[in-house]
Amino acid sequence: MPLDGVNQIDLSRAGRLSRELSKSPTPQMPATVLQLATEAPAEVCRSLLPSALHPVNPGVLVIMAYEVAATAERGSFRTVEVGIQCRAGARARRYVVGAAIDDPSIAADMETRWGYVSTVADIKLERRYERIDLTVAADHTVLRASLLGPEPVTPAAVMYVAGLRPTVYRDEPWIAQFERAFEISRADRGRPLVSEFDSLWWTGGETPGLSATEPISGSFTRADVTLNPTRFLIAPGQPRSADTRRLADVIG
Amino acid sequence: MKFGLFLELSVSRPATPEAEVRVFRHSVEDAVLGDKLGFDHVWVVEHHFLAEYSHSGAPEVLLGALANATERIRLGHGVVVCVPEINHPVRVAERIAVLDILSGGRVDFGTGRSSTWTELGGFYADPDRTKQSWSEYVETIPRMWASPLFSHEGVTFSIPERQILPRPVQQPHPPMWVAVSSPGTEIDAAERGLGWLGVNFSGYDALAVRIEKYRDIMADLELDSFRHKNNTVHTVNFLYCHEDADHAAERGGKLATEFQYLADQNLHTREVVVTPSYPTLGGIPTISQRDAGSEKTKGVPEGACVGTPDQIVETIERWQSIGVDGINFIINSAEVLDADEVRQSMNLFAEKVMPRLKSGVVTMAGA
Repeated sequence: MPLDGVNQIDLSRAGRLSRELSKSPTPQMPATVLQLATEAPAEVCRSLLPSALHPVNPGVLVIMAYEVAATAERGSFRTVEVGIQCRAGARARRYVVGAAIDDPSIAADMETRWGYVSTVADIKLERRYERIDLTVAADHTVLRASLLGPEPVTPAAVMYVAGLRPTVYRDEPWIAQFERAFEISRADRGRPLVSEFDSLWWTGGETPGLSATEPISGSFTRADVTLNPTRFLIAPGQPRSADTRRLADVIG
Repeated sequence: MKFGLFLELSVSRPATPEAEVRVFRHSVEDAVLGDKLGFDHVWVVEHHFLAEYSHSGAPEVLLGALANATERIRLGHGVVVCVPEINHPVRVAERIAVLDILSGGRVDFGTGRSSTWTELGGFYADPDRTKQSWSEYVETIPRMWASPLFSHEGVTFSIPERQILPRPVQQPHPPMWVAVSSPGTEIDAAERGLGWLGVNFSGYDALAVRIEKYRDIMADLELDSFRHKNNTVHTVNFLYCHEDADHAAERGGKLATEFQYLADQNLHTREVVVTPSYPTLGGIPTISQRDAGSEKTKGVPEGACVGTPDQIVETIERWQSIGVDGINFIINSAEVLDADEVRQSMNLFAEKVMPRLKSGVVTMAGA
């Protein structure tokens, strides 16, 4: 039997699902996207995953940062999410345990239209010749990370997997699949370095031990990003059920 | 048509010492039974750190035991991970040779490079270099066996002049194979004269195209006299043979589902490493499900050797018709099937399927 997650979704931190959810994708947003993958303590990763999801072996922490260009419909903003690589059934997914956005109106819109909860914070994504630096600060620095030695690589080498977020509908917890489409025009890869990471902040005070241990790989891309409507929900409490349902079948 | 057993040594959680001992003991017993029943190969995989999916970290030791416990079945050592951080090439050449001596020339040498970050990252191996090291291994190891004195100044490893000992019994050397999963690896195989050791599932049509390409390249290939050309295609499949079709589908489906579930918990290199060297997830996954039938057939992949003897004959004939020379069977996964029913399945297959396919006469599927 594969290992299952053991976490109970905290309804107070989960996004609300309602009929106000977006039914259409966003316009394409020109953006730069930083993705950093590192190994992470296996038991901590498992402790953050709901029962319906399975940890991968070894545990993997993924940090994704987007800087949306000023030419996008809603103007420029930055967002960062921290996720745990996992499986929903046999499918590769990422369970997002915490997110930050630097624009309060975008944060509110994301919660209403995608059930995606995030915390407003200052986010800096700075490109230098030999590195790309990411900093997230709330009342203190909660993340400082870099992609070291970026070098061009074919865009096909970059893989993004769909995210999963804890949500709630009629006081029942669900996991919502969060889907984005990427049209990558340029890609660099490099070595991830996470020098500061506030586990408690990113996990809503839930888990102190999440950390980046061994570096795996990272990428920095220029891409047109589309945020698609939520389509699938997973019942979080059923180990190994892969009980995936269409959103329309749950909330009509 | 050749038939083999593919031993993954999957151990269900919690992997107690007793559970591991039981899985290893059953695997030896299955191989001994396969030897008696007329199976042609038993392959023992090499994997590291893949909890549940495969506890086969030292296949050479198990194969040594099988060399002693069996009489005629060929021993597939593979795939050996051809990455210096995991297996030094000289040690690979040495242990293949020792196994060939002890088994009386019954070794087949499977090569590969691992598709999981779980394994490569565990040894701090660079995924960008595994294709290169694999290529260097398959090029140099036959020369190690053929040369009285061998030296090599390479890209992924170098060796000063030494005698590589002992030498294998089979001449010029044991048949060599490469694990084929990603499209394009069949070309790498053919260009080097290596047998195609299929380790994932694909549809009949897609495989037929790839086999044709493999055969075309092989037909024109000329190798040095110290190299053995192994123009052979073996695929992997599940085996559950039973006289009752519904029962077979239910149990075979359980086997296939369990296996895929365990395989998918591994961390594919492609998933987390930004590299052009791993264009697909690799490994065993990507099984198309045959969901159209009853609930009992759910989980049984298309083309799986699951069913009654007649159904399995029909399935194998279809594989044979597109150029497959042999099939290696996964017969259990984390003991999701009882040891007894695995053996009943093997016995029935040997009694009612093998004789109809070993003759070399191919009848068209469905005829």
